[in-house]
Amino acid sequence: MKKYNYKYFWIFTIVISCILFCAFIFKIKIKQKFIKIGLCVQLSGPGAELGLGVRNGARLAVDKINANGGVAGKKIILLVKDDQGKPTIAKQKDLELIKQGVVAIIGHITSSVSIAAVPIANKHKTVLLSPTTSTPALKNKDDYFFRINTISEDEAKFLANFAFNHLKLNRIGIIWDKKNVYYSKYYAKSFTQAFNKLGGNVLFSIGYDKPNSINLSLEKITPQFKIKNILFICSDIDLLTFIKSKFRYISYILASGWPMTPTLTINKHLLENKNIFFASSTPPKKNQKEIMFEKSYKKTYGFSPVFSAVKGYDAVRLIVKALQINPNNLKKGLLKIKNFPGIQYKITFNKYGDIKTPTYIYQIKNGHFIHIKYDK
Amino acid sequence: MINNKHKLTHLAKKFVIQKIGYPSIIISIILTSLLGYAEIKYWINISKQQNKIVNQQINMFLNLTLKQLRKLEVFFESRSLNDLTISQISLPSFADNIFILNKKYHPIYVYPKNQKIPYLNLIFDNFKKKVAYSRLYYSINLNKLAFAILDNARAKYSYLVEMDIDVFQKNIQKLVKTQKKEILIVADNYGNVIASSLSHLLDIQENINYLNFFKKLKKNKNIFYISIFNSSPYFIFGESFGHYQIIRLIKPIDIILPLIYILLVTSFILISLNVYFGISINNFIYKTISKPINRFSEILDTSLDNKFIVKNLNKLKSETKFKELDIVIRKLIYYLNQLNIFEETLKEKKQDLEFLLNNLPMWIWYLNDPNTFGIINKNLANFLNLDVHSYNQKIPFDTLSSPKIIEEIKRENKYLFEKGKTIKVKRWFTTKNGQKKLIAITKQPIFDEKGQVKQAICFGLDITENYLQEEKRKQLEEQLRRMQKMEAIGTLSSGIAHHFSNLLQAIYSYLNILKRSQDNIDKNIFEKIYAQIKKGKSLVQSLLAATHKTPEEFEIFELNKFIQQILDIIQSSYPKNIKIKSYIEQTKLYINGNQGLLEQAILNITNNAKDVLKTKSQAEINITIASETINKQNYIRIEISDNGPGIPSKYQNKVFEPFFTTKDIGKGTGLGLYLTYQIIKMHKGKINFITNNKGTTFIIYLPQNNCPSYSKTNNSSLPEAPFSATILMIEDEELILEGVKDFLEDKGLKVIGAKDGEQGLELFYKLHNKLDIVILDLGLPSIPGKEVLTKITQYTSNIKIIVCSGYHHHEIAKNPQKFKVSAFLSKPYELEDLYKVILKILEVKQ
Repeated sequence: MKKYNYKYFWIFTIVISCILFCAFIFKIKIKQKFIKIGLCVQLSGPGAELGLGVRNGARLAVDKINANGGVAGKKIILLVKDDQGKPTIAKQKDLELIKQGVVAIIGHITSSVSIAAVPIANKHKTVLLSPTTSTPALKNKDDYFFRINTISEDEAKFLANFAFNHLKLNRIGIIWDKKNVYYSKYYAKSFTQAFNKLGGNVLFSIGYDKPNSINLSLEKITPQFKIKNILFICSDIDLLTFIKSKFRYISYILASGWPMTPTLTINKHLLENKNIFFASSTPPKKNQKEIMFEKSYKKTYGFSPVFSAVKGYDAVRLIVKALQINPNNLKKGLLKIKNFPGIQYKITFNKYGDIKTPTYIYQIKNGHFIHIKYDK
Repeated sequence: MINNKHKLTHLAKKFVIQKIGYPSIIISIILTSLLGYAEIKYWINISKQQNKIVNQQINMFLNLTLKQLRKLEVFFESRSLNDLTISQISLPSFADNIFILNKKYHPIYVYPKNQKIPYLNLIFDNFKKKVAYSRLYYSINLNKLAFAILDNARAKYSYLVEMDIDVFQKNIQKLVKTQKKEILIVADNYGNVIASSLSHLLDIQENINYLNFFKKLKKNKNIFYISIFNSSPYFIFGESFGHYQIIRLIKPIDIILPLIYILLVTSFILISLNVYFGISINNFIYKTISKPINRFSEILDTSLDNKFIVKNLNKLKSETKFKELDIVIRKLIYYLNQLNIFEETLKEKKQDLEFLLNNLPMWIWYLNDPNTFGIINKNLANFLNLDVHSYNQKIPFDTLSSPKIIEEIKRENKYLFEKGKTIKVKRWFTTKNGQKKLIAITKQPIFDEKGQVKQAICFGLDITENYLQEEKRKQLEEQLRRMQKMEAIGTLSSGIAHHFSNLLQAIYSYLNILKRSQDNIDKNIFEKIYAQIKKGKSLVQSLLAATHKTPEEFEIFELNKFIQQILDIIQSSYPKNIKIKSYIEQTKLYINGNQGLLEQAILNITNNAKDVLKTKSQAEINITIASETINKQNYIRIEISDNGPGIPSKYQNKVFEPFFTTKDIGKGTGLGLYLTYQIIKMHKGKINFITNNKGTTFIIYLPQNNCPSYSKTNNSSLPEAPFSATILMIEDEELILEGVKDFLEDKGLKVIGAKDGEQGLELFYKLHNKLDIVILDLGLPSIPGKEVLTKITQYTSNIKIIVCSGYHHHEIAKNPQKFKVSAFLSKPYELEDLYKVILKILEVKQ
């Protein structure tokens, strides 16, 4: 068969051509490896704005890092999942991400979701870095859960203090979101404890599933107690819904940092002539980095960032930093980080993966969140 | 079916693979590529058209909205706006809230009432543009995601319409629902998805700004891109329409899959065709080509016999339908037949050539190099003990005895091959049986194309015979030269002898007269003079014999007596130291010869012996006579031997040459043994000699004769003539004429003399009636004797003619009858002899 050796040459040529063709089509970079980072936040449904902000901020960070050559020559891929703000879906999505080989998961937004997801992260020894979760339920636990938001307890106490001492409010009602029970209930509890301690009276503390569902009971409640001050522990849209509908005539509205989004400012006309105060860890003065970030964000997405965008941005950078410190053990890497230059503040994790930041009081006026100087 | 074991199926395979298989593969690849290209192109074109529709639709919505907004102005002027419903205003269903703003962007009119205007700064990039489109935002008025258009183009007011993005999107969604498994994304310039066939992209407010293809699309009007989206590869086609980007994504598999189907179908067809062609071509090749060719090769393979091959080929020719093969076979048969003829001819030629080569009386050989034979012929092979059939044999120098010859041959061959020049040489070789052969060798170089000597062709011709003949020829030439010498001497001596014999004849005639007239003179003196005349005559005869000019005056006589007489002479005259011994056979031996000549011949031998033995003591001369029969012929063998020193070898060849002598000047003439040789030859005998250092023996063979029937009569008493006769004698020598006249007239005969031919003829014509005999001398002045003879014989035949001449070798002497001559007498003749002849003639005449 020696005579027909050129037959193999033909076959060889054809096979090589096919391989080259395929390689061209799919741009297979054989030796290139990627670092996969998972991002699982609420991207759809009401209250998705924080999650969208986190996603957009994180993508900005990834773009910037990849543009600078990636991590040790490896590009970062951000795998984005929508947990729809639902714990069951979040767990499922987290597992999917872990299966896809992510080094860490950035998520989730609300405390309830985060609490549900932590066991999975621990089980798979995958860091779960939450940009916004502030529930005290996860504090002081040596697990794979990290967060770059301060624990809500302090915020609630600070707000109670501000309401009692600064606003001179004696009586207050609390409406909290049942969907984010681990946040809002804990927040309400902390606030109640602090407010009662100061001598105030929390007239009621009601959880809701949907803003409209409490309408009837409130109507009953309101004339009876003549409640004029209410603390809302809810998302921006829920807050707008409340204000628009049943609570149009309330004098003082208190809220946590959760609803401090552009959605409120866009619909500022609804909030006109309302005294609305927020307790937030967002620093009042924008530093240069934050301004730059906002510019870049706006240029990319066409609108201004929500506060969670900064946290999403920082979350990616923190993971990258931790990888640089300890590529094999991200948890140890994160714990070793000291005074990480975040956009808004320096970040240092305690041994449980929590951070502590000061709380500031803001009032929305004319579509702007104005810092109210208050020192207890 | 295909015979897979058959060699030539490879041919079919090769043919099918090369001519159908590879082209099929190439065609498939090209076809697939073309189809792929066409499909992508088609997809892009379709996409473009659909995008256009989508764009038109979006624009239509937006423009319609704008148009309706502008209509509002009319209604607004009439202040009747509040009375109208949205449907009455004809705004699109998704245009929910309308805000009419003054130039400071404060709402003057809000529809429906109590709706809150969104914060323009936040929802628009630049709300002061002529027409501004907002980003998606949460509208508290609608309690859901909303989208706004701001029309600043009017003079007094600006119009803001807030639309339910869900409704807007649902409308677009209808358009973007694709039949194919493709994804359609409509995004604004920032990558915010405003419509998509993947509805969840809207749910999660996806922004595709981070994707590479979108970044590229921002720079180009349209793109075709291959990239990863949602962890899968996609063909991406994007188009920019100012405010919107429409992007279509399709999985390569959805484009490739139909191609694969096509490829499979074409492959199947091609494979089927290939198999069909393969089988049919193979069958065709097997039946038409391979089988007959195989058979053909088998035929050619099995035998070397051309005739057998031709026979089988003829069979195959009748079977095959393969035209070309048929032609090949026919041609082959033709050539094979030709070849047979050529072969036979060649064989014959070869045999002829071999026969010629081997039977030519010469050596023929090729030299491949100076030391190696190529072809050699039989003669040379036999000579050198080599095999005539083998090639490349080394030259067996050992068999050549002489080292000198070996050296010569080696040098010669080297020279031949180096210089390339023809060599001609003669060389002696010794054959196996010791015979010496002279061989003339020619070595001729044969050159190759480069002019180098490739081979040499050589011939060796046995020229021993030629050489010997040449030698003989040289001897003959020498003999001829000698003969010429002798001829000259002969002519000289015969002339002398003629005159001398005339002189003697005259002396003799006068002595007769004197004897008759003077009775008182001592008779002994006459006898002694007669003896001297006889000796003189004998000398003349010897001289003439030496030149063959003696007449054959032979007689039969007894040799025993003759030898005894010679012995007597020898014994009395030779010195006493020489002992003469003789052994003569008792039986009487006769011989026909001339006693005088033979005596001279024998004495010449014995005289030579005597001269050698003169000083030797115990010298001997032996003479032996014996009869011997050789070849039924009786010979007398005469041996004369001496015990002298023998004849030196250098002289042995010259012994019988005339004028050759070893004796001192004046002592020998050099004619002795020459005369002996000539005399023996004259007697039809042979003479030879054996010599060594102990002596020399001459052996003479003479033909033996029978006893004679009569004996010689005594000539002392001649009778008188019984009758008278008239004789005309024509003789120029007057002495002879007178002598003869006197003698014959004494006897009673009448003699008329004439001194020359003219006178003789005159007398003849005058007296011819009275004449009986004419005695004619040949050497006559005026008219030669022969002419006279002719005229006489022509004139009459009655007269007898006797010719007397000193020219013993004259033709008349040899055959007198031919010339009508009755007798011939050689001068000098005895008068009695003449008388006897006349008597005899007259007796006959009587």
